[in-house]
Amino acid sequence: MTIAVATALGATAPAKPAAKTAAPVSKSAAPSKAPAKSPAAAKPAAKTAAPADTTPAPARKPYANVFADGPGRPIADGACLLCHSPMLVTQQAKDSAAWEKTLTQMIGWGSPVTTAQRDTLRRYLLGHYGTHPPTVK
Amino acid sequence: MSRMDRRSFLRAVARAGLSAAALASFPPALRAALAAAKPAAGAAPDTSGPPEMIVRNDRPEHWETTLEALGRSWITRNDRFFVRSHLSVPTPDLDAWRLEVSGLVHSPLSLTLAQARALPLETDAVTLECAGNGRGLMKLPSTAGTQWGRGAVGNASWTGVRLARLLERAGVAPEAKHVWFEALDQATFPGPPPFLRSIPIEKAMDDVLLALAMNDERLSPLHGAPLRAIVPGWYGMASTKWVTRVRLEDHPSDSFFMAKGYHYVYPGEDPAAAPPVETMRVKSVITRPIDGSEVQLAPRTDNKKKPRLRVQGFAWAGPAGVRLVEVSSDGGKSWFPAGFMGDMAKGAWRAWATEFEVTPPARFALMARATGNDGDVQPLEARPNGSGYANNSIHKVTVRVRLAT
Repeated sequence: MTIAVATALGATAPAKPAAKTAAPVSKSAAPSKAPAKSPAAAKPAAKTAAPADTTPAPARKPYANVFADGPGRPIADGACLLCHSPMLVTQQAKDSAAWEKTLTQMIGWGSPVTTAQRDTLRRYLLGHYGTHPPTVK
Repeated sequence: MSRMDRRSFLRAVARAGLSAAALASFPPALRAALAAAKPAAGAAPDTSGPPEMIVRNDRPEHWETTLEALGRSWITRNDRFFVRSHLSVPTPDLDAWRLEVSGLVHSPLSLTLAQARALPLETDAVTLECAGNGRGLMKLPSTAGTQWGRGAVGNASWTGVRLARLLERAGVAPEAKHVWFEALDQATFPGPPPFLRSIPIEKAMDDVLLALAMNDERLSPLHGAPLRAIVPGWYGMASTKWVTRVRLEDHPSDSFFMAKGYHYVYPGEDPAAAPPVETMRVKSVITRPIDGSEVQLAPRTDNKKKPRLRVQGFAWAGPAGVRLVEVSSDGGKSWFPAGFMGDMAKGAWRAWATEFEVTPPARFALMARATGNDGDVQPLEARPNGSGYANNSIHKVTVRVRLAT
């Protein structure tokens, strides 16, 4: 496999060092000219490799799996959790119109929200899961 | 809901810590079952889950592969393969299960699982990518749906019945233009639309598989057991899981997930004219080094040459296939081609790698850009669309390099 990589590098790696460009970041990174010969350098993907686990990292669950406390929480619990977990909601960052669109769709699909509850729920969702800058964790 | 589904559903609801008012709104049968599920008092944070996966939603399952795990092999292990389900995972009675071919065919078919497994089987390596992969990284005023990072993609070896052979056996009527995949998954609650999708007959007669096995193991429930569609080159939503009926029609399915969902609705444009999400866009992902990591490099033995940093990943480009991957270490001013390596299959991604000479200590950003055989080039920033589909923006990782001591 090392040889295959070396060939690929030899065939495609450019001869012109990137250090000649003006970019500061590239001064410390120039593409290699020569085919790699060090076995340590190459660790290509195996064909059907199913590498043995050593100590696999545990699952990452980046979002809260309970709704935030607040006056709309009982409505959110009752309306949303029949079909999906809170994470699907707690990872969102939506403005009022976007939450309204979601409510219309979910109520249309049978989510048990009464007319009286709807505004409270929208305010609750907007208050806790409004348009703060979303970040992928 | 099957027994298993119900149990895991109850566990999930119990973990969610429902308020008394919410419980009161549930149907009596569900309330009683919840009471019996007995959530532990003062339960610790839930740390259970699949290793090396990012659980973006636990019910239904939306699991993303970490790039560390994804990068290990051209074939993605079954227990590291991303999962995206719309509804509850069905657990059908396999003795009663049938694969039906119906609609605009001359001879409708109804096959038992044993009969399906006895058909001539073919194996293809096919890369599947969720249409929402990268959605969480797309700059949108409001989010929509699961906020996937970069790991809702994987490559597996799928074994099954070639759909074209099955359709030839049934005899396709000339007016049949679309193939509908009807599946067994259902919502836990009446109301949500079924996940029903269709593909054009031309695609169905080309390279589509009805897969029974994934990486030489029978399909697991999460991945569509006992049988799923594999539609090479299309985003994952086309590869319907838990298929039980293949129906030929003269028109595409008008289900929610065809007619409304899975369209590119660009801001300011008429949603009614939005193009459908179909084939995968050209894309590459850097799996080594990992963004934000520190890499220690051994000095070269002759002490005169600079140490080298290896950069590698995967690239794919829908039906066209990928032609080129280039890597930049200067913010995209200059690009250098990487080498392809390892296996090559029509519907599968390609592994690529290159090396950069570096002078540690250093900190720099690496970018990878793929080009398809059709000439499409991966953009610096994909054009945002309301649902965040098909984000193929160029992947950029920042890495610190030190000399090993």
